[in-house]
Amino acid sequence: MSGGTFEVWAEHLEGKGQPNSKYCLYKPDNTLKQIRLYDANGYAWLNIDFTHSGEKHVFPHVHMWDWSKVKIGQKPRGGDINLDEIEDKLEDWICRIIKLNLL
Amino acid sequence: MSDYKAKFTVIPCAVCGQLVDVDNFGQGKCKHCGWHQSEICLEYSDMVAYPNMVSFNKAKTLYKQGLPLKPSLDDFIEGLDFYKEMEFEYLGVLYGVLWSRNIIELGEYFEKDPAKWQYFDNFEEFKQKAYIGGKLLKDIWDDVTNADYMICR
Repeated sequence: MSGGTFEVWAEHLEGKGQPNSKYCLYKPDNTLKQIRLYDANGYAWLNIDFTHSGEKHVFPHVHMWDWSKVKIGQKPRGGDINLDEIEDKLEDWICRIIKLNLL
Repeated sequence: MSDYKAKFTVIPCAVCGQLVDVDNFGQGKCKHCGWHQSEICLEYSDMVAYPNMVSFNKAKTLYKQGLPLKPSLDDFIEGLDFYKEMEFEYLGVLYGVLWSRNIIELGEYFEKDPAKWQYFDNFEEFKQKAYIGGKLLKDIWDDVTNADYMICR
């Protein structure tokens, strides 16, 4: 089984989920606080944070997961890729998509 | 959009052996010792990996010694290196630690004034110079509680 969107009311999301899926994490008052995307192997690959600590941060913003430190399977993530640059671009794209209510 | 309905099964905790509910990906937190069941943490048993704050091997050692699975400051920094956004409590106050664009920030979780945050260029500087209330974080770390990956609040 693969794909899908799931709504979660919990403290946090897990590192693994349904392959190729999107999990939306809500506060008890149904405010969206985080979206996590999972790759084809079910590993988290992107967070979109809508609220948390940090006065420098704009919301929503994105974080790519870097599993390269644990070398999942034969396909480590990260490596020589500059994740900050990718995050900057993704953040811009995702903010635009959210504004268009397409996510 | 689908409802989230994880299918739970019960397995023995990898650290303490008590029964723990896990989802269909083998993930679940042990109510007895606090270990999050995770195949990644088992495979890379000497590393701090989400969602646990200590390595599997260290967790087993701590449990055998009757100690809580509390991360050292080095464990916390290893978690920060991976997840970028962490939190902890000290004397009932919640703090956030964030790492982005090669800057590490430390401040009270809900503090909005940039002047009240501390900034560090690297992990070693954070480890050696971060302070709370005039005391170095490394010196008060034993009194820190709930050191964990940041939860969106």
